[in-house]
Amino acid sequence: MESTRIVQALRQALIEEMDRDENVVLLGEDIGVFNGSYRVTEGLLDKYGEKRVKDTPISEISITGAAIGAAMTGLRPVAEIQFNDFMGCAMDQICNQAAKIRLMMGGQVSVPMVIRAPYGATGRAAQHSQSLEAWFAHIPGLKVVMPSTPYDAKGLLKMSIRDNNPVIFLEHKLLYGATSPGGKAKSVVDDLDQTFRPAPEEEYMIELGKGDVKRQGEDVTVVAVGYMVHRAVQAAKIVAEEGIECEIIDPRTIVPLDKEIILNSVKKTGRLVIVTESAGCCGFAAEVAAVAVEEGLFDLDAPVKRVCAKESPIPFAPCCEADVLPDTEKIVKAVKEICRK
Amino acid sequence: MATKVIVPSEGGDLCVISECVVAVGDRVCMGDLICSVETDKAMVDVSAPCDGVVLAILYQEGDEVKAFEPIAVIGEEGEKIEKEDTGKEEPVEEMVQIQRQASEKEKMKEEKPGDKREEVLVSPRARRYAEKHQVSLKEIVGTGIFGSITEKDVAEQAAHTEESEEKGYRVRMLSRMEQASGRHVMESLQQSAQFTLTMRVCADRLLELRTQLKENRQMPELASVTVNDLFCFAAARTLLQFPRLNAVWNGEELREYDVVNLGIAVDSGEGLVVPVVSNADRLSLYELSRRSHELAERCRAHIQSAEDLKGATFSITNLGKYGIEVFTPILNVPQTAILGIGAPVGRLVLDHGQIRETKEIMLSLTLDHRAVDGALGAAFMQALKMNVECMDILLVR
Amino acid sequence: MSSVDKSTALELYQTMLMIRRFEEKLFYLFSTRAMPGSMHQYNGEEAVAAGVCSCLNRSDYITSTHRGHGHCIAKGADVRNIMAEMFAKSTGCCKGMGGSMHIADFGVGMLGANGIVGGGLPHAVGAAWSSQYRGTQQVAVAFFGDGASNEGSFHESLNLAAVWKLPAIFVCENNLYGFSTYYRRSTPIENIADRAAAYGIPGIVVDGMDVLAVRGAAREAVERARRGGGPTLIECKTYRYMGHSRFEKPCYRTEEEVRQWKERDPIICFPEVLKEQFSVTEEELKQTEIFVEKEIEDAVRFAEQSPDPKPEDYKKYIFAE
Repeated sequence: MESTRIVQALRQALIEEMDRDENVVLLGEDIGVFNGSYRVTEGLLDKYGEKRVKDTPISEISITGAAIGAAMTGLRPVAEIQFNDFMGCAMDQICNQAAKIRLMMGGQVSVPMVIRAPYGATGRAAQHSQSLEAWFAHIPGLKVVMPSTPYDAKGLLKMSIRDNNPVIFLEHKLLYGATSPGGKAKSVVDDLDQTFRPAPEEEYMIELGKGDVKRQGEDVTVVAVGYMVHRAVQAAKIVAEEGIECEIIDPRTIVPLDKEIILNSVKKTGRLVIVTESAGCCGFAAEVAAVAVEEGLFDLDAPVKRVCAKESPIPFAPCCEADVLPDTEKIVKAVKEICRK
Repeated sequence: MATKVIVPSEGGDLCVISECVVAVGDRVCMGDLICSVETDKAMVDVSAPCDGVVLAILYQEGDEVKAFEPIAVIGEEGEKIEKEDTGKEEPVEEMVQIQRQASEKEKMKEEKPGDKREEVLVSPRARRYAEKHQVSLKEIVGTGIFGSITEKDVAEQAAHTEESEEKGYRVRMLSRMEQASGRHVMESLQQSAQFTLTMRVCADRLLELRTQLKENRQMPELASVTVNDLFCFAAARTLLQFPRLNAVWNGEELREYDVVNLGIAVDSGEGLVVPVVSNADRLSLYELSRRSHELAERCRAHIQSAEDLKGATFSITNLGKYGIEVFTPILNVPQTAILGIGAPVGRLVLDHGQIRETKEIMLSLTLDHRAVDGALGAAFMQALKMNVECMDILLVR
Repeated sequence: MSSVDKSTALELYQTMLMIRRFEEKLFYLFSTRAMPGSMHQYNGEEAVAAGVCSCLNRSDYITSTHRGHGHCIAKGADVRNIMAEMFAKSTGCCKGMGGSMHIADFGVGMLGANGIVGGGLPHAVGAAWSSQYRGTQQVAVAFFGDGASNEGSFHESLNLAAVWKLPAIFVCENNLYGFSTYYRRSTPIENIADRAAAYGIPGIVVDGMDVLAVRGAAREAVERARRGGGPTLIECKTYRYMGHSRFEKPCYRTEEEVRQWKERDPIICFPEVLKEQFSVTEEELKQTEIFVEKEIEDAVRFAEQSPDPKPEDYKKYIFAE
């Protein structure tokens, strides 16, 4: 059965990989008996037993560190950190240990592990709402993946599990339950279009570092990741009515970054808008802008624009949260600004 | 009391406000740049005459304004602007409008710090396209953000150019300087009564003197004195006896000057420029020559100042080096006379029954008949001829 | 100490002596600026590494600390490769990419020294989990200092290992000072081993200067771990003779204190035990000394003659294929 929702696609990826390789093990808070706080691991405890699906203490250092130790000694652990915000507790293990072990030890060992974590603002205030991809992208030695559709989620997670390096796999909360067009569950993303592609049941993988064109267009390149891909698609529909055609590029992985797909698109359009839900300062959007300027300056016909969260902790009040976050309207505004005649 | 910011140029000159760098409400200090204006002669910076707040800007970029006209008013914050300050008949409405425009501009500045840019912006992509297709960016009006020139703008210009080429012509846009110069000569021809007198002078002694100077060993610096310098020297000295030709006519009165400020036409490479050697009648030949060369150099390097181009009372133009013998110079109004110098031409003359080779130069004097009639002009030419033909004597005098 | 025979005892001595001579050589080389970087020396604590590792198989795992030379030697890594790593040579156990603070040798189950205090503990937990999962009977030992016992990773690691009943042994080398701070100024209890009670596991205090005592405690813990009895916390009371790092003013401890600890120096005291209890002869001790000296000299020569890595070598170690 094909997965129309990301949560199903991720679960399907885990099942396929656990069936394929008995060294794939899961650990994390509330992933077993409770089925995972976002239900990604639903049913897996029953299916694979306590030996392979480990409920852990609320203990991010040991979850991450144990995954590292296990990865160094033959397992392929997939750890879940309940919210990406909590990875702050485990930063030493992620950044000083997992990312560096292979190089520090002269390539004697690799650390094939995945840390899955939900990100994104959904009314949960400052400590459960961040998008922290840039933290990890800044540490050489980590790969960072941010899927936007069920299709990508499955292919990328399977690839991440098979990758011989530590992979940070970030999943947007609003996308878990969202369904592809035709799906029955009510979607939190209004007006999902055909780009929200379901994951077929058959086996397939998506290479890390290979971006995807989510929409073709001639006038402006919009690079967006994760949930923001769908906001960008909505914005593209709006500006299309005014004759501006956006090309939406979803890099899918922050590290490694598919520079080529971005630069090729900019070569075509001459204009670049980058959308992230994370704050702009020193973020992924800044990195993409730098790539465009360093390697594609003479393709640019207008200044590069970033649409990112404002420089603020995410406030609780819905109206304030909305003000901080990028949205469809803000993307429309940015696109029009650099496309204005 | 409010202080007017005046266009600093001699009377009658038209100039174009090319760049205004202040907005109403800005605080300025004495000497701060207010705007640049472009005359047919040069770009001139207009500076604040005193400290204060800009109360009004009376023109917009691209407007034409006459010399001595106020272009802005500086005063204390909240001060009322008197009608006389603006020199405009319809001050109230327009002033309000201008102020509003200015304050809107100011607001935009606040909203988007990068939005108001003075220079022409070209996107990197457009620049590459222009280089590849050899399209000049000079005259393109940008449609991109901040008014920047985009690839599309360049492509359209290229298509336009290509289209005209297909039809057998090419479109060349004139620079502002060329446009201003064009207006100036049109005005000259339309608004004055020009006629030209020509006279042949024997240049043998003058050319011999020039050769001597060139070859002398005692003062090598004199070697640079040119034929044109010698004519300038002769004209300046001759003019002292003909004040009507060393004058400006403003339509009502003729102002005859006590000194000769000699305008000398120079081809700057980007159009005609006429720098001015002040007090030319009081300079030695060497001083005049050096000053005139220095000015010409500055013009050719496009670094002449407004001061260099100011205050001519008589002009000289020389097409001799192009082989032109006779021509009709156009008056540099409001001056009343301009002298054209032709190329030396060899002739055989009968001298006391002997055939002798001699070098002659034709002089062409254009006059404004309102100020100088033919007889007076002819008298000047005779006197000048005498001085040129006896150059050595003139130098001794 | 009935479980220790003569050859084992002599091996323990040789390991300790190897560590001591290695550290002394390093100190000389650093002092003469023949070697780059920085280092933390193990002199004085040899009995802990030697005693614990003598109970381990080659396939068992250890994780180590910033003061890791001793653990690496005791676990059986080739001294030549360790020395070459100190010299940042391409023949180093980490190809010159890690240096003193990151020495590791996966061939002998040494999963790495660690520049972050407490950083290695959870790795040992993970290795123990992996061994439990794969059913291989391997155990994992985490070496760490008194300072690390106040890090969150210590508590999280003991807790997880205890709750999952993992074959892990936590060996605290209490050398009394976390850098300059006396452990009783940072730790409210006399025995760090008492913290084991909080996780429901055995906590044992041993004399870290007595290699046989250390070995005895470790042996028991290893056996318990192998038979599925879960983790043990062993606290070894020991002392480092050198500064925390290379050269620092010893303003935080007295010369008298250092002298007193040195009186119980295992390198000096253990030969007496060897002679009395294991009938080791002077000649055998001398032969050991000669062997160790030769190994160290050989290692230095090997390191000095080894090529540097190429400037771009690091690139192949950032990511695995």
